[in-house]
Amino acid sequence: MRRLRESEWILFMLPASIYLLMTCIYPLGSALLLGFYDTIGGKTVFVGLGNYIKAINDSALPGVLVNSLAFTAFSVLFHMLIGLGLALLLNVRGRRRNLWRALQLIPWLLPASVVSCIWLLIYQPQYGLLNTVLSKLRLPFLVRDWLGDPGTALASVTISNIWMGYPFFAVMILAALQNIPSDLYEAARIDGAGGWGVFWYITLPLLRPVILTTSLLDIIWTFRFFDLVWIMTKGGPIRATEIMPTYVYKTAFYNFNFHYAAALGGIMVLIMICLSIGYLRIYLSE
Amino acid sequence: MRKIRLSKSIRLLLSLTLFIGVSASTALAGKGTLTLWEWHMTEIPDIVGPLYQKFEQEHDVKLLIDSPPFGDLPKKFMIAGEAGQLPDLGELWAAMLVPEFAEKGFLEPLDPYIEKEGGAKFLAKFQPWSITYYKGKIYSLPIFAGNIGLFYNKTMFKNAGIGAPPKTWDELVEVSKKLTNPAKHEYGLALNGGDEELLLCLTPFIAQNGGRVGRVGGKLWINSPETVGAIQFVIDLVNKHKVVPSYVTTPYRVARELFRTGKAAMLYDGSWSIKFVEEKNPTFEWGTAVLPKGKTTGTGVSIGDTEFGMFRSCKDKELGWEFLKFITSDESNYFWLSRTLILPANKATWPKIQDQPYLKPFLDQMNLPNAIDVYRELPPQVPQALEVFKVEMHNAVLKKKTAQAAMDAVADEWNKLYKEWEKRYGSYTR
Repeated sequence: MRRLRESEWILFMLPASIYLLMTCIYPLGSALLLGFYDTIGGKTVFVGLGNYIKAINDSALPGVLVNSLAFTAFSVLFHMLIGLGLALLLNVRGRRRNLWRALQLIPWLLPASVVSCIWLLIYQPQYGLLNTVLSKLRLPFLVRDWLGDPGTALASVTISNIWMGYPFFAVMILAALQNIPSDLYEAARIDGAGGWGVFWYITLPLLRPVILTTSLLDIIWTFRFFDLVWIMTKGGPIRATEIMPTYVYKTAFYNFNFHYAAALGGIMVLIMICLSIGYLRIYLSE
Repeated sequence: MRKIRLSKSIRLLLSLTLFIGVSASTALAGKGTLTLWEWHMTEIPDIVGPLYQKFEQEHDVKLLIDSPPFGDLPKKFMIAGEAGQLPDLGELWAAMLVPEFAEKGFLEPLDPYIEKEGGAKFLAKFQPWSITYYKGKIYSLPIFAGNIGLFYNKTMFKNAGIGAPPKTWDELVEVSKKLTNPAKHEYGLALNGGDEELLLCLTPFIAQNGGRVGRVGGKLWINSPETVGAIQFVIDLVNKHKVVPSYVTTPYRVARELFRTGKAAMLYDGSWSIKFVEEKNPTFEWGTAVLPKGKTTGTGVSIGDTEFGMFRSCKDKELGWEFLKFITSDESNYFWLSRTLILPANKATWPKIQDQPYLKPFLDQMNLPNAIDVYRELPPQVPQALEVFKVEMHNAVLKKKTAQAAMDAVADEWNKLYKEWEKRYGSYTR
């Protein structure tokens, strides 16, 4: 009977496994394999790690990696901080609480293309909202071409991404907050804990698993996030906002160098695996 | 054993699907099909649709059309080429796709078909500059070309007391300064500095300064004194005279919008934008003019944006050739281009459109002796070459590098591209 159940289990798993194999494992394997080939003399030949060595010598790649890591790190950090702050605010009892909870979801509901257009209009140098407000506040020295200045372009797109992504953290943390038993807070207050003490010793430790899991997901999503940067700056100016996904895309579809693009994709996968392992080790040690 | 029972609605749906499938296959039975990938059916179906229908009727064939946006079509071709899934016919950006596709053996050389039609006599109907050769062979037939001209806001000119569009670079600076009012967010001149086609917009300046862009006569011109001089003039327009709005974040569509909304008094753009400006019904009077000249006259010409070619995998090559002949014929060319106001490659259509007031300056410029076909001068990896140029142009405009240092960097990168190509496919000759 037990054996039969096991075979049934395999049978039920088979369709999903075949689907996964065909739509995920096989394309991923093919793409990674492509990175070990190149076109020489009009023919596709095996070059081993040639494309990976080329990546090491690629003068643009270090800057792209730094941009990617900065974009990811600041996005995730502020997603978490703003999401946590908002979740704490929305967790208190008050009038129209559900309305406020629904409203704060709006940025997350919008597609990246719409968010990009909104922020393109905000940053527009001649008639954009930001420069108009700065001019009205008599701060003309701050007025600039936010996306056209290499000094501010990456920060500008990162802010747009933060705006788009924080509600996800807020929702996840809010759900976790509502699962914290109220008697823990009551006990802490009886013991004389103040607001900060309750947050630091009760709320934060109990939220930690959710924050860690959500951050891990956000790191993976943000590191491979393409749409927003592509629509807003296409990686410019002077590669100031060039991140790994835009660089891989340009290599594949501007330069039509699919082999090198596949190798760059392989490097992206490696980086994400490293980030995930590091994060999971922290998570498991908790 | 439990019987599988289908609800009435599901049975009806299945029957309907079967009926449609059978009907469609019956309708197609006896008819040949040709697969065509192009990018106009999405943008101007009312213009190209009737043309395709006419071909279908005349040849009792069904065209199976896939029409992704212009920017996506080359990617689609490249991926399909690698996967061996190319269509029968395709609309090609020849400067970019023909060398790579010819080397990979994806494209059918058209020379034998042209020979059958009379060879040089058949080709004589096209403007000589519009035919794309690669290593002495022809792989595609042209539809249109384009060049950059001057759009100007007559109302703004009149209000500023300026009688006519500028005729020289000095006048361009003077007029642009008069028309610039940053407090009202009004600027003299909108230039595309934000997307990859910024080089096309800069090419007239380069031609007017006696320069060239890419490898011509064995010499790479991009960092020559003439070319760098022209680049410096544009940088001065942006940084010194401050008559150009936010150069690095202004792609063509934004530059065009600035002109259409009266925020830029002049615009360097191609004749393909005439329709876009007209559609907006601007509240001001506007016109087009020949570009102001520098040391000499000249313009940046883009040829080969739209050419039609046949793939080696085409299952009915004779029918494929009939389509290429049809779409580039005098009649089709005139039907298409008189409605889009883009310069046709077929000479027979020119007399019919030369009195169109907005188009005339562009036609006049096409005959300038130093009109430069910018994309055919570039390394064959055109998009990559354009991206390199954009980055370095931004370096120069944002004062990170001098114009000379930036163009030297472009030359270094372009030389690497040529070498990479030679490593892959041997020597590169058009």
